[in-house]
Amino acid sequence: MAHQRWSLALLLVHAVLLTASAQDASDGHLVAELGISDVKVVIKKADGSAISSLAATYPKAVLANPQVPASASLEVSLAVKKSGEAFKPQQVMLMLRSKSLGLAAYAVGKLKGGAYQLSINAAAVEKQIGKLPGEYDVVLLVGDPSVPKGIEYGLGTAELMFSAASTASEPAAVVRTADFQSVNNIKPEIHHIFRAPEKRPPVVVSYVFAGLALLPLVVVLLYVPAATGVNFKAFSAAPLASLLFHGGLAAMLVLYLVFWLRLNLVQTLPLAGALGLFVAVSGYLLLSALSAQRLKKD
Amino acid sequence: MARLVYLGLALLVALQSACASKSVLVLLQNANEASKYSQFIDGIAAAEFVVDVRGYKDSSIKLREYGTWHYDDLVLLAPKAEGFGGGIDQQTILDFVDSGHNVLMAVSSDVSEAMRSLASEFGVDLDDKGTKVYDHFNYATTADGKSDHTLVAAKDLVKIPVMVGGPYKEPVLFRGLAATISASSELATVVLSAPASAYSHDPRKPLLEPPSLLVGGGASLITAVQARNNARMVVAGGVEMFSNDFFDAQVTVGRTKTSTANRAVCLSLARWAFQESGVLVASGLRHHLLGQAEQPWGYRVNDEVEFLVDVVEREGNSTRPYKSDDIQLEFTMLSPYIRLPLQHDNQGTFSLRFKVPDVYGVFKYDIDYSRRGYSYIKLTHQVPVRPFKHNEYERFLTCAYPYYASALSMMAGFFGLGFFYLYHK
Repeated sequence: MAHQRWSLALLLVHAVLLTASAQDASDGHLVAELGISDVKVVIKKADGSAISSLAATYPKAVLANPQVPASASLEVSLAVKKSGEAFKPQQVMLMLRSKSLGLAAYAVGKLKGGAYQLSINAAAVEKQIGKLPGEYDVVLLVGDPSVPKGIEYGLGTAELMFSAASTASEPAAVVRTADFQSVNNIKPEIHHIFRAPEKRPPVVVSYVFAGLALLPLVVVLLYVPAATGVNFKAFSAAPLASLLFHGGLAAMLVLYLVFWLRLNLVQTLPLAGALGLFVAVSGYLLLSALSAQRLKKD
Repeated sequence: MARLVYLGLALLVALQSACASKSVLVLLQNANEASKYSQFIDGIAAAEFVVDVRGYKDSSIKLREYGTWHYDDLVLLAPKAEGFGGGIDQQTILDFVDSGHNVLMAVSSDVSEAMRSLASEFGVDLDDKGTKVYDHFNYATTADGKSDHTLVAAKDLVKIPVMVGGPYKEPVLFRGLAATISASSELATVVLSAPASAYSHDPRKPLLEPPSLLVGGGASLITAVQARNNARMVVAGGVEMFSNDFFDAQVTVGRTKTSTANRAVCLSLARWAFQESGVLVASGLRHHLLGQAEQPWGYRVNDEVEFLVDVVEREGNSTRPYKSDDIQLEFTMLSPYIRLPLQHDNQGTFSLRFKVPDVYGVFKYDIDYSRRGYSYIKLTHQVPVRPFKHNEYERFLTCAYPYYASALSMMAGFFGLGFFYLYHK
């Protein structure tokens, strides 16, 4: 009985000692911690006057998406302490991360009279990531190798405006990150626009003038004989020669037509030569018969 | 007689196997370090490479002898090397790359000027010697509780599976130099970006201002360059990334415990660098008029034609048809008249049907394809285009009807008038 009570008491004492030592262990290492204070966010015009000035306390966001004009700058000032004493951390940066593309521009803090001043404007952003108007997440980064936990203070969002002309002293270089690179070298498509066919006059004009061209033929063959009383009395002088001559002449005209439609010169010239000879001979016979008839009459 | 035949066959087999596997020269700070990188070296050897591990000062190494290269690929894991032993110097390595071979190099914060200048010849500008990449938010604490803000756990890998493999949940552990590449470079790729809160800084000097300060995603931790002859160069800012310690590390980042993706990423990247993946081979360029089978000498304006080319993707020793919709074909004479994407049939044949422009001259088919992570396809083929022949125009025009009518009426009138003239009494 007493033995049990003693062991229980020993157990209790042991437990108390252990918890006490555990507490000592956590207090003993004294982990360094960063603290930021007096955080002020100011949007300043180019001449130095403030458009808006906000005081911020970590970790509450203060910027409710105000517009930062192209010539204005966003300035943040803060004091940094480590475990209660003033401290100069290795990293005091302001990160402006674009909401549309995820690219970020940065400003490095300068120590002025015990407080850090960070300033960023559209020209600096353009120099780092190019012209990218729109909403930006404003984040304050404070860190140091001797402090295990850095401070990432999201100050809110701001809308940056860029002027149409480039305000940076150098042309904007596009930044490259693993996620922001072109995938391929595709170029815009080009479709060839074919020349439109030339405009032709209306078809009616052709038909009218073709009709007009045929009009004299009609007049000569139908009207003139009727009006002037032409006769074919001399036809009976040499009917065979006449038929051959006019047939040959008709064949020559048909050859012209066929040459226009189908043949080439190499095929046509022999035929024309043969026919021409035939027409010449028959024409000579016809003409001699006609002149003989005329002489007989006289 | 039979013995001779067997001997001959055995020689053939030996030659075949020697030709099939490629050889890699790995130069370390000294040959004893081979155990530090044993997993990486074994990984390369497992991909059917013959690996030769030497210290960089070894005077017996010869990269080139009488015009032939002894090795197919070069791995430089000696960041402090000022010069190399044997017959290797910067010009030899550049000639090595110019002849189509590949280099994988890794540096560290104590990089020598020779390695920095080699990297800059490759197109990668490393930060100054002595700078380190710090990240106070994404640093890794090793299993023994030591936290080092220069040990960065980076997760921003480029999303190209042929280069680095599939999406990883674990971070890539990195300690070393950051680099930057020219914004207009078409040949370089940022493979691993530093996290947004990281920056590259020499603790002995004051902090610079961006853009001279390499900060955030713009600081490249691993950079890959593919030259115009398809030779591949990888510059990794931290040589420890390839070590067994980092492959096997169990680290704590923030509050999560995780292993690292270093093994998968490094071996995948090494395979890409040695042309084992992401290699495209284009062949069988042919074209023909629609409706005909043979390849014509040239075209006439306004012809309907079809262009075909076969593209396969080589992975190790196997090939498979390439599937992509962004290969563009240009039909150009001094400037492109037609630029259209080729369609593929899932069997690796890319084709396009189009109408030849109504301009005559000497055109050329031009394919200039570069997809990040794959080798370049550059093909050109000249084809003359002639104008219409005199008998390829319209035969009869409606607006010429008056002229036809007048000629025909002239002939008919002559025939008829002949009768009146001859037989009138």
